[in-house]
Amino acid sequence: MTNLVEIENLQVKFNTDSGEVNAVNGISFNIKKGETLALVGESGSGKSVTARGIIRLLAENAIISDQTSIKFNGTNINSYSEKEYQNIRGKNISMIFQEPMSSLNPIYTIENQISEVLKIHGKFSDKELKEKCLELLKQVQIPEPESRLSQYPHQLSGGQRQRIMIAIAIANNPDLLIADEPTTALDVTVQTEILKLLQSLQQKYQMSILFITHDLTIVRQISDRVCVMYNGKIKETGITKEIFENPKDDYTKHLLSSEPEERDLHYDKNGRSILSGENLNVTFNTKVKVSGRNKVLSINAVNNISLDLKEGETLGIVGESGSGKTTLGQTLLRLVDRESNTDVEGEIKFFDDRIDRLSRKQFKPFRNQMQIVFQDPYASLNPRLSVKQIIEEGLIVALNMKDKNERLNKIENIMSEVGLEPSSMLRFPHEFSGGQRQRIAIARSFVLNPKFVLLDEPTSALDLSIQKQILELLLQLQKNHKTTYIFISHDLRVIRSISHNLIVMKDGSILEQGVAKNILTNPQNDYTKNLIKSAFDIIY
Amino acid sequence: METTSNLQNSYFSLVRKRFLKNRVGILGLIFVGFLIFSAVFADFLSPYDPAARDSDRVFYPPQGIHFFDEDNNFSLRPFAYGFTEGFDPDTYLPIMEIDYTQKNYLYFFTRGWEYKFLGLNLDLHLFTTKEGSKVFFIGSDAYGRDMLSRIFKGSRVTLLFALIVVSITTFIGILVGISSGYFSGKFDIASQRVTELALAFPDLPLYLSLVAILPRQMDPFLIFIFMAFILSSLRWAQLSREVRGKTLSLRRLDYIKAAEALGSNDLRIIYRHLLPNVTSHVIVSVSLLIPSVILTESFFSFLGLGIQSPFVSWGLQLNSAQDMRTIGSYPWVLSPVFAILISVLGFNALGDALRDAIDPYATTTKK
Repeated sequence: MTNLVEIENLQVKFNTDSGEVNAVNGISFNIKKGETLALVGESGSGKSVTARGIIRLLAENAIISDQTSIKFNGTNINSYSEKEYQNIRGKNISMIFQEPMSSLNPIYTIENQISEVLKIHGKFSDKELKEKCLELLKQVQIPEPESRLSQYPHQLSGGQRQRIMIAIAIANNPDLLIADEPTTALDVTVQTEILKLLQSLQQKYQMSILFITHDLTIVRQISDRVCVMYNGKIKETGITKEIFENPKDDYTKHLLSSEPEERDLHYDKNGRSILSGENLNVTFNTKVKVSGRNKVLSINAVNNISLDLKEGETLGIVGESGSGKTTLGQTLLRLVDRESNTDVEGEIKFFDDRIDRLSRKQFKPFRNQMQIVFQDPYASLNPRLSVKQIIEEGLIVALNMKDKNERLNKIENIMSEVGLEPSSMLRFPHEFSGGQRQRIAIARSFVLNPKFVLLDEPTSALDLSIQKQILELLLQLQKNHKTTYIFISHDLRVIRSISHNLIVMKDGSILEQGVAKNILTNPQNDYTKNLIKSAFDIIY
Repeated sequence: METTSNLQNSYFSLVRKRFLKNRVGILGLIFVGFLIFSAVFADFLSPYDPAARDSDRVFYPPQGIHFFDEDNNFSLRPFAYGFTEGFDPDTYLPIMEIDYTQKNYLYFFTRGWEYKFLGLNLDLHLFTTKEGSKVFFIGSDAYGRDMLSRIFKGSRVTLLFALIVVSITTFIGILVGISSGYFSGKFDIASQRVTELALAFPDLPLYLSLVAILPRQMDPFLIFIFMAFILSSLRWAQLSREVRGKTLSLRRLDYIKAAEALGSNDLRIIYRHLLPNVTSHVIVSVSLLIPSVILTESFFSFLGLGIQSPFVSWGLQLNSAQDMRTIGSYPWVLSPVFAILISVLGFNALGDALRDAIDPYATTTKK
């Protein structure tokens, strides 16, 4: 097979307020005709910059080195002017992005957006354009393609929008399709469909795909060859299967071993019940105008759910976005019913106390025993407070600890326990990496020595290797403090490695509930089967 | 364990770096700094008592500084020539002629008229002249008062006035904005309607009518205070809108929910988690609000409706420049205009530069 793209010594630097930053440090690789090359790496490894460097879609402060040579179809394109690049983009090389919610323009119809890329690179009559758009929509297997033409992006789901993006990308039969994390924002079942679609389109059009991802499962599912990137350098290149079976580079080995593994987990099944909910219903009421009249639209986010946690147990809640898993978790902590438009029904018990009817003030004594860790460590820490102040907050408001030295002592202890240097307590959150920030958030909860912690996707925003560290930290803390967890996640691999029991949720209801191992090996429900298949299977 | 990236600087050092790159902003900072300095040390900088009248030197033209006299004799001590009043033989209009025999020497860091500063009775000045001789760098007004001293004195009143108005508006604006953004619901709806009313109100007619009902015989200091309240009555609305918007987006962030999960009450969440995160925004708004207050104040004082003597403000000084004849014969009475220009441009430039510098995600996005 001949090479479609030959990249030699690609170097990209960024000019920032704090000096020049090297993003890509002289990497070389080729993309063969008709192959799928996966560029895999953790955040900050330079994989996106590499891809964008090929078609010069970099930020204004980016500098590409003179020694870089990029050959496309045998011609050297790195001396091309912006105008010449415009002729290539969307025609010979096209790109799909991570966030389908923001990559389509909300004020244009689907037809407008697809025909735009056709009009830029060719001449068509209005009728031809419409036919071509329809044909493309059929290609990307959108249901009811005729009615989609006049629709706007907000009328489509995330997966459908990503299909529109793919339709736009393949409109001019490109030789190379660059897919920058195209399925990261999508649910796992939708992800599988999009990947299958990309594969079938690739075979049909004989195009090459440069697939950028951090997800090793996807790499295994879709790519022929793989480049492992770390810190702006390529660590290892080769046939995907060979690299997964026999990694040579240390970093690749480390990355592969970071995938969450199955563990043998035990807890006392006859222990005391710590937290239970019975017939929980949560309804969000929003006022909407229907043909001029005010109507109340009710969304049942949690639909008649009962659960019971024993001391020391970890209950995993898995579901796709919008399944109500976060609402359920926060309901148990009495964090959702503050808004006037939310109705919560049902009985919640913490040990022997009923807590669902307590006022905010009455509930305060329970706060130090029930804690929460959020998904995004960037949004969950107040940027204007130091680490010490962040961790101290609970000691002051929940435990009413007046003695400064006692507080300091507690903060130091918990910081070392979660693997943070106590001497860094006067620093501010932005000085820490994502994983360290999540440790700070965990320390904030555990400094109160809580009996129960709600973990709301605590590892989803983190890189694979850091995800593993955080999971291990959480297991260790559970052991030390005898804590009970609810672990909310969309990632079945993570759930498998940490939870004893499992709840599968969809549209606010429980589809399946039981011992995690049993559900994962022998799912009863069709939806669960599909979910597990998408998460663990490899399509070849 | 992962290591902390060295590339990230602290928030304020980033802001400072980005601010220092903005040349117009630095110029604004220098202007504003100079203004504040002259307001604080107005008495020290003024060679003469701003209230002291001099019937011998009415509408005295600006005098230049010299080191050499007309015979090219060098004098280390700078001096300025005086004027003698003469008549144009054709038109009989009074004209000022330079009197080369009258040399007014400047003496630096010497004692002059007495003033009070921080409760101390002082009489030290940057420069003065000997008893009987006077130097007016930018001329004197209809009562023979030194324009320069009055501009320095006026900067104090004008800035103090702006400060009071801005403090009141900022306080109300933040209070209304944060509480309506945080508590939402009915309180939000009610307070937003009030805010809209304040925004829609024609401000100048309201100020004019409110000022008009202040009794003229009232103590000038009380008029000063009432004026400040009147000019604050509507200005808080814009700021409260902005603060509310910022609060609405902040309160959805997880750290607010985390604080709630720790058991913090509303007051603590507002004070400790919301307020610090809106301050940067407020600082910018304030620096852009000051010039508009300065302009409105001068406008009212110019009309004679604002600050009353014995207070001195730039607008009040311009009050005497209301007729063409005065401006035509004595153009230097317009000099407070330049003081207003410099302060408005200075604060605007500073505010714009601060706004550009303070947005931490302008160039460095989180990743």
